[in-house]
Amino acid sequence: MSEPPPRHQERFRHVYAEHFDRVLGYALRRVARPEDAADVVAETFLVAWRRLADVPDEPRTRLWLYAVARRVLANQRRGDRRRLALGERLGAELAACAPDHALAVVDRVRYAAALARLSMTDREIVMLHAWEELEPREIAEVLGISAVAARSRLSRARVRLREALGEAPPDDDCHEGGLTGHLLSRTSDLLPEEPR
Amino acid sequence: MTPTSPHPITDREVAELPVHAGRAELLEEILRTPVEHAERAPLVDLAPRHRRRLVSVAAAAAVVVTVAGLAAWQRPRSTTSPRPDGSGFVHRSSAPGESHTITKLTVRPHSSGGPLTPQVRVRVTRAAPPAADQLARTAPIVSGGAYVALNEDGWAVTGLSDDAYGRDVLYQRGDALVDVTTYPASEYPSYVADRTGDAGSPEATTLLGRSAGLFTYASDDHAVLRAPDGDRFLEVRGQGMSETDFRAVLADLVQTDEAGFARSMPPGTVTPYNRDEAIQHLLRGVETPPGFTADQVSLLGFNDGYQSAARVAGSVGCAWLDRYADGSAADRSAAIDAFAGSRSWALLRHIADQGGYSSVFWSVAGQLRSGHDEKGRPVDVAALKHGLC
Repeated sequence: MSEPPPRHQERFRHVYAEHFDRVLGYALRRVARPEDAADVVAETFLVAWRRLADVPDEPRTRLWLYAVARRVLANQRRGDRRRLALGERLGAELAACAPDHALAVVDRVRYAAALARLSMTDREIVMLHAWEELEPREIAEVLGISAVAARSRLSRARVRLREALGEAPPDDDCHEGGLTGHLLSRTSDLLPEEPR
Repeated sequence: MTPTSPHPITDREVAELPVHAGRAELLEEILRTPVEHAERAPLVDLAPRHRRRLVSVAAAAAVVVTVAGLAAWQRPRSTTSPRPDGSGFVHRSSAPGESHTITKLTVRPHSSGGPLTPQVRVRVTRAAPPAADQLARTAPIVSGGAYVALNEDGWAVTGLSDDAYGRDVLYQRGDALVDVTTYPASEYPSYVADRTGDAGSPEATTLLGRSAGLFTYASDDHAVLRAPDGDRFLEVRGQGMSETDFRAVLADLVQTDEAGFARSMPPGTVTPYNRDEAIQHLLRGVETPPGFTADQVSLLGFNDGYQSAARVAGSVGCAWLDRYADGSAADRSAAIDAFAGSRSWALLRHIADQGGYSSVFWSVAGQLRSGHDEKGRPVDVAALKHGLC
């Protein structure tokens, strides 16, 4: 087995440096515990290291990494929660310092409940749009579907999410201060206007 | 009131996390991983450090998942490597005679009803090889029976859990795993879409006389989703075996009834037939709140020893948490004392080396006493109950 050429290392270091935070953020927003994100990051970049020739150039690099991270997460959720012997220190650091957002706000449970009513793909479409701020064409690339399908499913998913939350259309007034207003505002944030 | 952002954490916040050492170490670890290793031989191990680590976490949760009470987080001792295309992982057993860990994770709605709060249940099974008393027994065939069992010699039941959402049976023979799970029929389209997204369109087949779809994740990793039958549908996943062998396993699945399924499970399984007796046995030495009865124990259907102990302990623990939250100062004090004393409870001590539930339970005492969780936030009883019940 031979050492990878210096150019291979150099390019990987660049990909890692440029996209570590984004991949970690993607993982942190989806795992149960902050330290679990270390496994997702480690496995995702290990795939990138081994398949560097397949990693597309910018600006598509991030989308490719999201697609890999999504599969890593899917395998975890499906039962393949198998850990690599990589990223232990990162996991320990995340356990110590990453905020646990989910339990802090009761509303988040409501979001979780509403999101859970979506299919897993639709849920991911909503999250990619709201959290990773991807356009439908970029979502399509991550999920391996057509841009038309991504746009259509995003639109449908947003409607379903509103229905699940019992929310009025986004043009309605939000009531500040009370629980309802709080939820409405948060929901509207989660459901940004779809790009045309 | 300023609305709280729904974003769990932003990329900007991520960039500010003090994880520099871990970030640098991971990079170096990856750079030391041979590239050709995976490109030419994707089924090899990564030579992981053999270690096992329990992580105590009461009720951590993310935006889409809440860790359920039976969660037991462990780092596996097994050797595992990801497929280069990210489509899955290759599992290799540990050295002969050495135990390894299998962890299962599913998303389920909260069993207590109310909003559909997803939960993650993690099963940890250590078996290499399974003990003789874990071997499954032959189930009588009952046409149209609501229970499914694997009628082939040599398969051990290394995991069994049941609740209102569904039943999950994990069979193991050598390195081969067969996971038989039932889900609510209403979830069927979502599961088909999810599996299709990961494994591509299924191949049409039949399972137990009904139409089904076969999904191929890898040459040794397959799953079948069977069309709903009444209010349930069935998923069978086979890992560590070829498609031919997986199809042979599918042919050995039989439908049976509740009594037949109970007869097929190994000794030590808690069933509807021995539930009350098992609960009384498990409650020995457990300090329960005044008025607590076995009827308050959330233990349904069929469960292995680990799951049963965890659910009985969880029912008691949550009854104490209710007193802590709603009772007098004396009730709060009694609840704290009960959790502190739980280190001597036989049912928790018995399962302490099988998973993380006991350590989670025991961590509650300190939180109640101090009034703060491990991150210094005020104790959130609802969150603790999510973690224990």
